Amino acid sequence: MKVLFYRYGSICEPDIIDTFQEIGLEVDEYTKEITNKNISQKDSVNQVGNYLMDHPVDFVFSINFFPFLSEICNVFHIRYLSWIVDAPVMELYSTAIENPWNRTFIFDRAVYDEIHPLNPDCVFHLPLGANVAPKDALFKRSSASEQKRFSHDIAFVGSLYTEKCPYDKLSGASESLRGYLDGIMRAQEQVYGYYFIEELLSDQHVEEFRKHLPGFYHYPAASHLTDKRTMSQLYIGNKISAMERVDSFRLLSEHFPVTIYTGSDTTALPKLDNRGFAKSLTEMPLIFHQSKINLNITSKAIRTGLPLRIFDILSCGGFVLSNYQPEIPELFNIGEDLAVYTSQEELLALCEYYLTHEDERIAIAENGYEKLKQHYTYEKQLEKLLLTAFKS
Amino acid sequence: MNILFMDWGCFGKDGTIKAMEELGHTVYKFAHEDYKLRQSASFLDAFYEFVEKYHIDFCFSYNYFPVLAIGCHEKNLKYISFLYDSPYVMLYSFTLMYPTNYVFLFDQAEYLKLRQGGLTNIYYMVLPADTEQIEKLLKQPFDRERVTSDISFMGQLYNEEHNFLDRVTAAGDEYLNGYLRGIMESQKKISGYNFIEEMLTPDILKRMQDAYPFVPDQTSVESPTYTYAKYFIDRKITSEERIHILTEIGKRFPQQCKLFTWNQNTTIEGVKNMGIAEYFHEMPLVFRHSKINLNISLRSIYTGIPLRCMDIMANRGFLLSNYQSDLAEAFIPGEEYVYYEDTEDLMHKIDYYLTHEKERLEITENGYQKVVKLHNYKDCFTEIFRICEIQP
Repeated sequence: MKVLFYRYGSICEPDIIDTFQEIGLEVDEYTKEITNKNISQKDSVNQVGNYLMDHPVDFVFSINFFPFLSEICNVFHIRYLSWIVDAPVMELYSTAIENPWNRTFIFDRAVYDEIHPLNPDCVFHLPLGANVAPKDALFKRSSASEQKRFSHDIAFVGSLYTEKCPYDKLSGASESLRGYLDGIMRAQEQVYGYYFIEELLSDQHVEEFRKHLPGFYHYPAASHLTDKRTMSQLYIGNKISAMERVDSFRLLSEHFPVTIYTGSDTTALPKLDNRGFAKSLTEMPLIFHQSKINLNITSKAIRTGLPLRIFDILSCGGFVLSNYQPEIPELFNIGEDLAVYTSQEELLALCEYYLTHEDERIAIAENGYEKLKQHYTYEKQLEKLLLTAFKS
Repeated sequence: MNILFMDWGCFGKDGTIKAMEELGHTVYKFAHEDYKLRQSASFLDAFYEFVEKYHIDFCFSYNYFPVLAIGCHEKNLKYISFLYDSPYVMLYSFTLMYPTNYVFLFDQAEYLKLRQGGLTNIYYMVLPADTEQIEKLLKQPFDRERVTSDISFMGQLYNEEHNFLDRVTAAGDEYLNGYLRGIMESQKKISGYNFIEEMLTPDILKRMQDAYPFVPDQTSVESPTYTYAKYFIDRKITSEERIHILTEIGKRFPQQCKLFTWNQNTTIEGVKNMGIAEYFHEMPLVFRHSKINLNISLRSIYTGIPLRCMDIMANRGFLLSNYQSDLAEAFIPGEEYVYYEDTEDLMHKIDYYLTHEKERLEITENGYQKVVKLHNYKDCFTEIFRICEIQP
C-alpha cells in the first residue's frame, strides 16, 4: 500500500514514517509546508491535488487535521487518515470533519466526545505512543561527559506558556469579569481530572470577553466552533497552563534543585536552573534518560488524554512524575509504571520521596519502559490505526 | 467514675448519659450561663466547687468550651469533647493545646489538619445516634399528615437578609465580587474537596477585610481566612445550592416535597414549607414517614458525616445525600444509603427511588441496622473511653 504522508514539521513525523515503512507501506512524503508556512490554502489544494493526480496513493496521512486534505480525499475517494496529537486543534471543528472519507484518530477522550457526534463512523479515540529503538542506540553512543551534563535531580523540557499568552491581550474588560475569570482559573488550577471552565461561562461572559480581546480567534470558514469553546480552551486553558507551570516551578525550586530546558523567560523564578532550548532528537532523550525525575505538567487544553511527553520520557527509560490525567490509569498502573500527583503538595512530597528512594524510582522507570515497549510503541498504535481505518 | 456532663441545649444528651451510666459511671450535669465565653471567673468558681462536691473524675461536653478546658487543665482532669457542629471557631482557642483535652471530631479533614499542625490529642469519630426515641414516639399520638411526605428536607436555607457574605459584596468591590462568584461557582461543581480557603490569597483577604472587617478573637488561633471561608462563603454556597435543588424539585416533583426550616417566609414553588420540625419529638417522625430524606451538607463540613445523616438512618429513614467521603467510608453507598453527584443525578435518583419501593426499603433497613450495631451511644462511648484510657 502507498501513503501520501503530508508533513508540516511535527516532531512525531520521522518516527511514524519509519514505522510505516517497517510495517511495509510505501511512504511518499509531501514536505512543502515544512519550509513554506505561508502557502495559501488555494495553492495547497491545487498543488496537492495535482500531485495526487500524477502520483496516485491508497490513502493520505497527516499528524493533526487539515480540512483541505479532507476535501481533496473526498473528491478522490481515498481515505484521509489523521492522528491528532495535541490540543486544542481548532481545525477539528471545521465542517470538513463530516466528510465520509475521513478516518480521524483523537488521543484525548474529551475532544473525541465533542467531535465524534459530528461524524460517528469516522472519528475514533487512539492514545499516542513512542519508539524505543532509536533512543536505545543514542544512549549507547553517548559519552560519559554527555551523560553527566544531562543528569539532573528534577528536569523539565518545555515552554512555560507565559510568552505570547493570548489571554494577556485582554484589555478594558470590567473588574467584575476579570475577578470572575481569575476566580474560576485559580479554582481550576487546583483540580485535576475534571475541566469545568466551559460550564461556568455564560453567553454574557463570552460576549464581554470577545469584545475586549483584540484579534479574538475566529475559524476562517464554516465550522462547529463556538466562541465559548474557543474562550474556554484556547484562551483560558492556555492561561491556566501558564499559571500552573509558574506556580509549580516556583514551589519546587524553593525546595529542590530543578533544571529546566526552555525558551521561556524564567527571570521571575531565579532559583530555576534554565539551560535554554534542548535539541529534540539528540539532547532531550539524554535528559530524560539521565535525570532522576522527569516532570510532565500537562497543558490544561488536554483535558483527559496522555500528552506525547509522557510516552517520550518512558521510551527513554526515564522516570515520569506527571499530573493526574483521567486516561492515565487506562494505560498504566500509577505507582508502578509512573508516579502521579493530584495537588501541589503531593508534587512536593513525591519529589522528596523519589529523590530519596532510588531503588523504587529505578524500578518504576523500568516498568514504565517495559509497559510501553509491550503495548504502546508506534508500531502497536499504528497497527490499530490502520486496521480500524480500513475495517469500514 | 464520676463524670461532669456539661449541660446545655445539646443533642444526644439523654442517650449519652444513659450509655455512660450503663458503662458503670455516675453522671452529674453541670450548667452555667457563662459556658460559651472564652474566659469567666464566675464559671471557674462554680466549676471548682462542683468538682470538689461531687468528686468529679473527668468531664465531658458536646462541642468544645474554652472555659471548661481551662478549668479541667487547672484541676488536671481529663476533658473529653465531641464536636457535632462545623464550623466551630471556638475549637481554635489556644486552650486546645492543653494535654488534658481529648477532642473528638466528626470530620476527617479537620482532624487531619489539626494533627498535621502538631496536636496529638485530636481524634476522629463518627457521631452516634439515638435509635430508641422513635419507638417511644410511635407509641403516642402524632400528626401523621404533617410528617408524611414523598420527599423531605430538614435544614436551614441560610438566606436571611444581611447574611455575612452579602455584607461583603455590598461594599461594591467589583473585582472581589466577581472573584468570589467565580470561586463559589467552581466549588459547586466539586464534591469531596473544598478549596475555598486556599482561594483566599493575601490580596483577596485584604479586599475582604476592606469590604467588611473581621478580626479573630484575641485568644483564638485560627487563620484570618478561616471565618471568611467557613462562616461567610461556605454558608452562602450552601444557601444557593439548597435553594437551587429545592427549586428544581419543586418543578419536577410538584407538591411532593416538604421543607422543614426556621424561616417560614421562604416560598419555593412546588415545595411545602412546614416551618420547624422540633428535634426531639417531631424530627424522628418526619424521617420515618418520608420516603426520601435529603441531606445537602453544609459546605464547611469538608468530609464529615453531618449529624443529620445519622439521625435519618437511626430513625429508619431513607437517606439520599450529597457525596461526603467519610460517609462513603462508614456506610456502603447503594446498600445502606444513596449519594448523588450533581443536581441532574439527584433528580434521576429521586425518581428512581420513589418508584422502586422494595430497593428503597432494603437500603433503609440496612442503614438502620448499621447504626444500631456500630453507631449506638454505648459502643461509641466504650471506644471513646478506651481511647481516653478511662477505666470502667
